[in-house]
Amino acid sequence: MTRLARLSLLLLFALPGCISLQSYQSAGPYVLHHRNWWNFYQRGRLYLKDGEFEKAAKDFETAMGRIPGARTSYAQERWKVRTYGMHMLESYFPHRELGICFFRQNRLDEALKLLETSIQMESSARAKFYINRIREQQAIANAPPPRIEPEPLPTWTAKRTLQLTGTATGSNAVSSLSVNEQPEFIELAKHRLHFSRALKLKEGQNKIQIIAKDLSGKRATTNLTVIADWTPPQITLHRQNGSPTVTCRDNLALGRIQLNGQNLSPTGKVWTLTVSSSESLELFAEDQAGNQIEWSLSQKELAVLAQNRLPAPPHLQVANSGKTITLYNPEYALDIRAEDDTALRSVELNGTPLLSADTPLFRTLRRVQLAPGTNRLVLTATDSESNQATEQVSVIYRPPEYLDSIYRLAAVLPPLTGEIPNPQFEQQTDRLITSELIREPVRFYLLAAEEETDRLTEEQILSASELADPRAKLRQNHQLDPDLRFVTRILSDGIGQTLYTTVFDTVKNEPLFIEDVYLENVEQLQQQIAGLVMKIEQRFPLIQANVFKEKNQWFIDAGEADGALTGMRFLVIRSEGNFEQGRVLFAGNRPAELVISGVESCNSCVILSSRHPGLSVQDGDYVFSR
Amino acid sequence: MKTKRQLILLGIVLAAITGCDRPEPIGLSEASPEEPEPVLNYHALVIGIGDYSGTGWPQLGTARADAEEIGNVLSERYGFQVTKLTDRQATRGNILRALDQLMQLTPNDALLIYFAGHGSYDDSMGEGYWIPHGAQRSRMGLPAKEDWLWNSSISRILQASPARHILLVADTCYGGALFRGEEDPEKSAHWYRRAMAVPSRYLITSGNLEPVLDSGIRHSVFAQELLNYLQYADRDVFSASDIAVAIREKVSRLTGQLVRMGPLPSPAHAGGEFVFIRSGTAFAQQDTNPEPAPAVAASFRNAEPINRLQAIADRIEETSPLVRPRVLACLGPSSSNPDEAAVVRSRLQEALRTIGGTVLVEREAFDDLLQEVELGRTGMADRRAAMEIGKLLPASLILFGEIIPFDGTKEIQLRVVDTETSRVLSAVNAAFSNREEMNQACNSLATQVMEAVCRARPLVFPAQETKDGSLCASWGRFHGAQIGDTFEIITREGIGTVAPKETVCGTAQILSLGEEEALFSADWAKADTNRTTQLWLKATL
Repeated sequence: MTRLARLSLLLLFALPGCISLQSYQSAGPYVLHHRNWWNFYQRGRLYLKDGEFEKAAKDFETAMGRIPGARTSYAQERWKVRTYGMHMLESYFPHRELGICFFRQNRLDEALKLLETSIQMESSARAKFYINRIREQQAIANAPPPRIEPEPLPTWTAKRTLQLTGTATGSNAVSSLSVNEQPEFIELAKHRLHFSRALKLKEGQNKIQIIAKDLSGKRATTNLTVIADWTPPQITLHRQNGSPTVTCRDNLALGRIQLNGQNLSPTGKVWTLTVSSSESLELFAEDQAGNQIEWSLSQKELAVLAQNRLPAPPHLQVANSGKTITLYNPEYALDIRAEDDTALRSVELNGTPLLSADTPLFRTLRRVQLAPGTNRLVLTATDSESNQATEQVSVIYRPPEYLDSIYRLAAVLPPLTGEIPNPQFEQQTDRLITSELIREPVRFYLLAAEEETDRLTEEQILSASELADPRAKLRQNHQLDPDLRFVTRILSDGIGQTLYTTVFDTVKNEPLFIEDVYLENVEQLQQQIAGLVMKIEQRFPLIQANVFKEKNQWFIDAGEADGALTGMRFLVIRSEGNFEQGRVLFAGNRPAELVISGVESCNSCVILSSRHPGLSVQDGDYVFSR
Repeated sequence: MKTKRQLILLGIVLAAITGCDRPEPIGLSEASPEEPEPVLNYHALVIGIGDYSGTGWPQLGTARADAEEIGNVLSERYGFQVTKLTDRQATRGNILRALDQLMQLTPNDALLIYFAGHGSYDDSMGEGYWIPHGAQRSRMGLPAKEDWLWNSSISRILQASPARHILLVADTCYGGALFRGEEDPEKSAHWYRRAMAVPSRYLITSGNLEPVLDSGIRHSVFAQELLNYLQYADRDVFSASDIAVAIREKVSRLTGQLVRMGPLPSPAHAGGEFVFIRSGTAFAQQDTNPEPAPAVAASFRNAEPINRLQAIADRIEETSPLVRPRVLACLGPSSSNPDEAAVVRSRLQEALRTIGGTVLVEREAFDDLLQEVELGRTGMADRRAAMEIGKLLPASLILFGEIIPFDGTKEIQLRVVDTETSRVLSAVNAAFSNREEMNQACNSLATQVMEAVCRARPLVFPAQETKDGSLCASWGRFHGAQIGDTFEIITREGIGTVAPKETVCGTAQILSLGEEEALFSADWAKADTNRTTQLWLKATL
């Protein structure tokens, strides 16, 4: 083939895709050599960057076929669309871009209609951003500020976390909402916005401030107070002039006391009663938060306590003393009873005092927050003569195996591509995405970036060579293959940036979905990336369900209503006790997987994807999302 | 091929020593500290074989010169009676005859055996061999073992020798890391006298079960450093372990070989040590004013009972696959300003070293190194050049990162990646605008990085209780351990599962360190365990 022929062929293939435009640096005129819809769209984008809104609008309309001019037209919003041959055009949103042109030309109603059409066809953060801008301008100036209506919260609670839910409404749509200065991720302002937030409480008074803003900038604030109390009341018994006096004390406020079946309403933190040593005593106390303690003393015990006896070391009773207990939730209620002939001076848990007054009898229930692994709970009671008694309970908190991050889907982040405004933006974006993905509790098992894997491989090569010290050899073949690939690209329109992530299934090598965010201010980068990662994570809900068999097919009792989707992958968990105690089933050295093949509203049909001799699913097995 | 392959598997010798019939150890019972000890007579058997022509073994460039020079120095400077066997003299028969002479020695003799020459090892038999002059490498396609000196034979001879001290020095490699206690840099004259009084069987070798480098112009690097020490040591009295400690770092730096030392697990070893006394030095071998004996476990570890040493050696072999160091390579942060990046990396490494729990490795010339590895695979590399690079630690963790200008300040962004699984363990960042803030940022980042590493790659290794209630474990300088490091004492169930059940029994702290061993003070509730329960140590940050 001659050089001329080769050149001709090259031109033949290259030209249809070529916009044949002059430099973007100088604003137009951009000459089209071809009149396909994608040529008009690309030129429209350049005009839009240059601020030539009228020319841009004309090109977008031509591309969509709203006005004649293009040889062919296409009016469907798509993240990726085929132009000719194997050529693809990225981010084809003619309605959206036309809407933005109209917005710039102050044709707000038309712009709003186009942007809403765009979202209906293919959701994009840039369209939502401009809908908010239009609504801002259309906001009613004298409209009342937004209203916040949280679901009622208890004034007192014994919980450590509380779910705050509610609604913010406004005639002008609610565009931002923050709880204790932590903003919610809101892409599209809404007239009625539902919010939900898990609040981690501290013991004592917790102030919660909710601030909502509408598109006109008006704001509303709601302040709530919740008192968290996870320390049950203490009961002590004193001897005063030979008569026993029972004292019930709470760290915050007593709620209810039942003495020998009779209900009493104490006020404040302390309640006392002198009792006759000739009666038995049945005492039940509850604080305002609902923490409870019970105590009973027989007539004989009371009579003995009323007498003066020879001094002896304190008597300490702790439930499960000397034992090692395994728990699968992170809290343990420690039941304590201490007694002394004279008076207890202190009762301490791991060095922290529990007792605040001298008393011969002390009774409480302590809720202890556990760390993963073994927690040694050492109780020491000391009497007024410095005699000591010590008891110990070892509590192993074992987080359920299936929650281990090693079982989550392994994901890899290829380098950012696209129209990157500057290297700092790229590095910040990379770092923020990584940080968000590995924030505990992690939803994905994030693997090293591709450019870093070369270094990892080099270490493996070194390890396998004779230069390596054999005592430090690396384990081979432990590297996980990624299940997902998060490909993030940046599109820049001169004013703002769209970050869109395509999530690929690496096994099938096909895209699963796209999520995006849009920003025009780099200060919003962190919040927007947090939102982007949240949107991706929401596509992979953590679902727990039971396995059952019906008509020779396996099902799980979770369906569309629970967020189940076809193709979702689950661990299989077999347990003889609770779900939390279950062990993950393995197919060889990989966890066995059940994959959803069909979804109904409440159930889903599943198939076992991991083939391995001897592996089978049973009725009664559980599943948990990978 | 110029490379000298010296593979003397003295570990096998040791195993054979312990396995054969043995006489009662010559120990302190025969020479009470109160009775004056006769002055020691020093002997040396120096073997150097470089000429292997016509045998199939490669020639060795420096072995003969090494042996001759070492023999001269021992004779001239330390008054040794030296028997030299070099090249043609070092036949199988001559070596056996020389070894047989050892039987003539008495408890008032000290013997040094130096060997430089080829060695071999048979995996299937677990047997090591010295290759004498004239010994064929193979016959009829099979190893010509009938020509070689079997370690099991040598060991019987060494075992039977009544000499008070025998020191084997092998410019070769040594398998089976034997326990050696913390070296005391301030050994007193009393210490040396005591070491001389107590019988010893001791070994210094230049590496592991690997071929070692026959580099250097006239002498091998190991031999040259040994000669330097013997010729120019700044003291007149020193022990075998002093030599090993002094030359270890230099040899390791130059060749990557690990100089190993340790008492042989022989019943004839009773905790003493081979002590060198320069000729003309007025050193009273008897202690006229004895100091109070130091605590055995803490400062004179070699005096521990033989079975104890053997038990430790066995345990190291048993548990070593489990105890791998956590090796961290700091590849980041990088920056457009290389000087600034270097300062930040240096500060970070300093902070990481202070926290401990990892061995930090350099990767400055890693690309060159990998080229060597690749060349080695093709068979085109000069093996000696490869060995010059050294015995390297592959990094199980890599720190990547950048320094980028952000919002008027600079931000250090770091990521820690697990090399084995590719998992990103941590991504942290901290900003700074001046030197002081940079230091704070590095300290804070180092802490965050190590917290993440400890969560994802906890350090857990088995430990054994000693008679005095302490613990010992195969965890030493090689693993990056430092005196004072603290650990949780735990028992474990479900080992190998994702979530093994761990019960904390107490805490332990490193008291003294060896290369791969450490002694821990322990504070734990023994009631939580029973005597058969395996104890483990888990590092705390």
